[in-house]
Amino acid sequence: MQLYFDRMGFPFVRLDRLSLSVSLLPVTKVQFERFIAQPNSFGDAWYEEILQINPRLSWRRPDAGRREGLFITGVLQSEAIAYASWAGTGFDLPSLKEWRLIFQSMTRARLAKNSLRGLEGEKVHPAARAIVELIVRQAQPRTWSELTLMEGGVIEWLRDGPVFGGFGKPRPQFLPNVFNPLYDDPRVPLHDDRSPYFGFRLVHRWSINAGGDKL
Amino acid sequence: MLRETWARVDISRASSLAFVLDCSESAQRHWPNILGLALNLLRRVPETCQCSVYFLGDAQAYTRDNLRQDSARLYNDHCRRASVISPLLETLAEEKNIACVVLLAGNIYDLEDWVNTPIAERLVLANFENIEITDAGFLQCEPNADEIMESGPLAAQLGAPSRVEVFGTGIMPFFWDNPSYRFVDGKLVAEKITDWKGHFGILCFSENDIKATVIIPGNRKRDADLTLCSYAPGIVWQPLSHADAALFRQAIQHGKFDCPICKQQHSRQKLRCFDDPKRLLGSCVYSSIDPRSGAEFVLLRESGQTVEFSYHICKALRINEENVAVRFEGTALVYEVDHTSLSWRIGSQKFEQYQPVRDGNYAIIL
Repeated sequence: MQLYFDRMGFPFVRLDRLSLSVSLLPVTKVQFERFIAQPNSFGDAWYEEILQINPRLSWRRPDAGRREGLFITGVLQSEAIAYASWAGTGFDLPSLKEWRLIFQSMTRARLAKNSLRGLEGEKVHPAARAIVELIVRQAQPRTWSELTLMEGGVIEWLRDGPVFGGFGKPRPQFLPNVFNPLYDDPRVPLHDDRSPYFGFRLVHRWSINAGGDKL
Repeated sequence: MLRETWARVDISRASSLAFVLDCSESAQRHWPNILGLALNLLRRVPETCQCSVYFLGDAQAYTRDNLRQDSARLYNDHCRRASVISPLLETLAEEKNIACVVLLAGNIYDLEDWVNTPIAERLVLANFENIEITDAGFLQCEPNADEIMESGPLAAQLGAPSRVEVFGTGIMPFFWDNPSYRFVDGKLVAEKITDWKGHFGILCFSENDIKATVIIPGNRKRDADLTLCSYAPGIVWQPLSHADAALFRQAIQHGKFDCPICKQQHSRQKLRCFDDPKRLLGSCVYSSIDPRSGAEFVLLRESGQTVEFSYHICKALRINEENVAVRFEGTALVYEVDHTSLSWRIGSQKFEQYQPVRDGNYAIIL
């Protein structure tokens, strides 16, 4: 699987068969903070509420707490879409079908010794590198779905036609579950409120990206 | 095992300052105070110091004039940003000689991502809200101009040193090329000078043992930049006259020589002849060597048919692998290493004229 990097230096996995790239990780707090650092409607009061739901864990000390604290959760689907729009043209939440196809591809793809060689370069944000190293250390992933935390991560917002739901297979320490994203219906938060379990990852749907590695 | 190490000291002071202002939602009610303090500080920054203004969340740099003339517009442009510092620290972290003052009110959410990074040592936080910023040991002070500029941590960045010390467990300096440094109680010390740079030759058990500290007014200390380097002090050899060469050879071979001034025989320990009563300090027996050269030692060596000499300016001279001579009251004390305690002490060996030193050379003190 080939890795490419967005303007912040966070990796995306290129999936030629699906004509898209998908973020290697669920969107992290580091990334989302870059978004709210812009002058927009997501100020300190908004972020304080988010952090009450899922406290922040610094990527510099990722072993100091629960790894899910590295990722942005508690966001509403509209907020995830606002982030995707800011990320640039072609970025979006995955559709239900896309999410399942990505998940199938990732589950079948076993990690090889040099799978992560692309993370050694200068383009990589140090937070991205540190978080992947943490996942490798903690989860000892054998497949790409485990590495990318499509298994063992958060519930990820996706588009289900005109509505939104979530897929994922969080680890039991975070959310005890018996989810099977290939067969279950998408999840929704219980009371239309912010859920600590709901985060998201982005897809980047290609128009023509002439093999370049900058998204 | 002792090793010879060369190091360079450079007293790096912050040559530029960045003021980071918090005008986020959470700091709104403190903004007039933050702005007032920033303008006050900018007036007090030395002219020689380059100054930039930043806002939390934004990597764009502004000048002090921008802030002075356009503060209302800048506030409007930045007040909807969240309290995030990484965008600007990623830029500032690349500037080695910059010190940052952050005027804030409340939390900075991603400050913990900068723990134990080089720029963390050059970051000063002045918080208008009385809350614990982080447990990571960032420099913090009260949000008032005096505290920040004169006695707070920023003063350590900007303040001119009053003293510099080079020291360490088990180290022994044997060379320094800045004569302002003195050997005092096992340390090299310089005080109240303007040029602190120097190359230092040091015997040590480990390079990690060598430390350098800057002390600024108010007795505040900080580490000085000490860089290991390669260095070879230049030695300029000059030929002795034939007569002086003969004198040298006599002294080395027989322990005495025929004095060219009084024509008597002298022990080789005697390098000045007092035959002329008008010369209270005596006359140097070597006509080729200038006793007023300022040299602390003079080195001598056989060189083919001739004998050469060189002035050694430094007060210390390495005699051999484990002994260093340091000038003291007309003679020199010979320091030796104690391998048990890993320390240096004044040994029993006395410095004698024509002291054999490394490379087949001999040392004398005039």
